[in-house]
Amino acid sequence: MSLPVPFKVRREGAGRTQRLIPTGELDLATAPVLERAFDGVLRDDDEAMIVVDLTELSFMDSTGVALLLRMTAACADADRLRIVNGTPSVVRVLDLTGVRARLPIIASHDDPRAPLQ
Amino acid sequence: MTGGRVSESDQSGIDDPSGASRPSPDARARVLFSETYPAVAGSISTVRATVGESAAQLGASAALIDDLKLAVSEAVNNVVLHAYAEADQPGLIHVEATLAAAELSISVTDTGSGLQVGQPEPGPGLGLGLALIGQLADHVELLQGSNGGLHVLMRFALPAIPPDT
Repeated sequence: MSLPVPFKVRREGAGRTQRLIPTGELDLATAPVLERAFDGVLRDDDEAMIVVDLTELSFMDSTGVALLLRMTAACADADRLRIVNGTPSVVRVLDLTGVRARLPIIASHDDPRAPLQ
Repeated sequence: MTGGRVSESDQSGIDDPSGASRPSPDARARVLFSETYPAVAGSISTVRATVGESAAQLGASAALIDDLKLAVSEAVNNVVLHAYAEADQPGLIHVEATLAAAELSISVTDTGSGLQVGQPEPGPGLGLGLALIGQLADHVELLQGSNGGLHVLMRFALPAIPPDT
């Protein structure tokens, strides 16, 4: 049986933008890792735009969706979160759960500091 | 540990962890795998990979494999989060996949008391888990086991399976 890629979260800072890139499968076991990384960015810099980039996720379940909703709520007042949309299987979960329109989603080539369309 | 745990509408012996080695009551049904896991979050990726490999061997499309992995993950999430919430230590999850005609059935069974048929699912999944399963599977049954656990049976149509696979 092929083992999944171990889950990890890469953090890349560029100026006023902090990017979190989770890799692997975002599920009940791994969501706390991403949540801790996100809380760390919130704590470290209260002005940076936070970009959570889903493009390297091979899987996401409702646990991941719930986490994205919590992140969105935490950043709503300051409008400082952008979520870069992921693979078709990730997009499908966002569509099936009906939350896609409620998340600040951008494409990977979009400027995260530009106003949301 | 799951001995004697048969739901009223369950005639296929799918609660028996050794089901793969004994004849099925339905001669056309084939057990693809039948495994028991500890009911902890770390088991979920293993269950998901096992289901994905089984479906891939049947020639399922990538989209269907994604749906199967998501559905089984949500079913196992429910067990891990809720089934043994009042127990001293995590219990067990039994997962079984059977193939009959062009239909793949996956059952997820626990022996806990945290989930009841008809009870909305609380917790971090925001109630999304069971709703997702309902959207992904062609047919879903929630059955109460005789010893209090929940039995989730999901059926998926498998289009165009080659013969002798």
